[in-house]
Amino acid sequence: MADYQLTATEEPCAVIRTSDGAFIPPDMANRDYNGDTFSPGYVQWVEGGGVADPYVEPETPPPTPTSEQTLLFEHENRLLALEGQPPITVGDFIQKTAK
Amino acid sequence: MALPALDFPASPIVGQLYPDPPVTGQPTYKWDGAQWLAYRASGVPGLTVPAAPFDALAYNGMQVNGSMEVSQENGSTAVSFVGGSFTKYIVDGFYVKNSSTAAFTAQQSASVFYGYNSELKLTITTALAVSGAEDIVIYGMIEGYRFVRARWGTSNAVPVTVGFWVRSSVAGVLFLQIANEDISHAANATVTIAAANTSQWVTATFPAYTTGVWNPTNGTGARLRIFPASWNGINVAATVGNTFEITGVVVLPGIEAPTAAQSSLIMRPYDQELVTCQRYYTKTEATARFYAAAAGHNVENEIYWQVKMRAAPTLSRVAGLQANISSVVATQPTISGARFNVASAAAGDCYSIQEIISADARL
Repeated sequence: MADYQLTATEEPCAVIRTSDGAFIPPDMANRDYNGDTFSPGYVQWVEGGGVADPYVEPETPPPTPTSEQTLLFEHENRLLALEGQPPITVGDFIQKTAK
Repeated sequence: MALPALDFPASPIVGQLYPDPPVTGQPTYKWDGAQWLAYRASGVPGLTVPAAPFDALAYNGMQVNGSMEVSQENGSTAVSFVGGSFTKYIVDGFYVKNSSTAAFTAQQSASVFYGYNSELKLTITTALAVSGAEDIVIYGMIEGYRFVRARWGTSNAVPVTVGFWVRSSVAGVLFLQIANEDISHAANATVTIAAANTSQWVTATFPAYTTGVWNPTNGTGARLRIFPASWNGINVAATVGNTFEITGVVVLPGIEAPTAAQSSLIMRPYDQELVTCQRYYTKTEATARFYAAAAGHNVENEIYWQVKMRAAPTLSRVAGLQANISSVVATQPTISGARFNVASAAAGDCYSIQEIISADARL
């Protein structure tokens, strides 16, 4: 794990300092972003050869079914059970019906 | 009555008064390094300089938190400095740098100086036999917008006078410096600590500095550097248990400094100093509570700083209470505020309350 992690796919962007989770904006007047020889910041770290961890897209939460979808989902699984098929998940059902 | 003829000293030193002692009916002058400036309108022996002009001057003192009263980040908790290079803000406006093998603690402490609540105190825990170039340095950071009135780096530069209370386990010469942002230009001065473990008011006038680039805006205008351990002066780290205490720091344009008796009377009050400090560092509370229908539902609020900050600050979460939360983040800071986002972990009541967010835009 690097000392910093990007918060976007392209720089300049805010970075997260991994040691304490601080959120550092890309402001050249911010000493954590652009420090000096006495108190180096992210810019000095990169100039010294540091490479930040890439931005990681946050996980997309599973879709939330509506009341109607819940009813149809339960009905679908009852039919599948009668047919001897394994049940499907809510997410799969919503994706299937959205097509 | 005819006034005595003026006969100024041929080789004056900065800060020297003439005539000294004062002569009844004759103005007193002070040497600023380039010229003699009127210092006292009437040289009546025994008449002290009125406090009022100093009140006005010192209220606009360029220093931040000279009384060491504001300590938003650390409170009075001691910060440990081990051997090696380490830099840390101790109280608002002042940080300490250790570049030596000495170890010590630094903290805001109850003041031993009359008229002050607080001080900055160093206590040596591992000794340093011989001090080097810049072993232990206390930095008083001054933003360009504050220091620009001294006009350093221009032909119109004026002298700058520094004063503070000090109590040190080691007596001798204490090296001082005012440096620009990258320390490529610096003016030097010394004060003499006359006796160990004795409270003393010291002052020094730095001659006008006309060269170099001195940031006039929201960067570092000047660094006041005080050297408790260096090869230019005392080594307070020579013995375990030694202490070095300061407070009442004033940094004033011009050649005048308050007297010891005036010094504590002219400091800005805590409430005003706190507002000044919040331009550089602040903590604010944020709360979000909602009923989520499922995981991954978000609530986002804007949080605002008490005052506009010097620059977009670094954000950190200091404390808070959470339940049923998958993430809580403060992002996208500006000089005015930031976004505060809370995401649910599952359906149901979820909250993140009394989150304390620190915003750091210090120099």
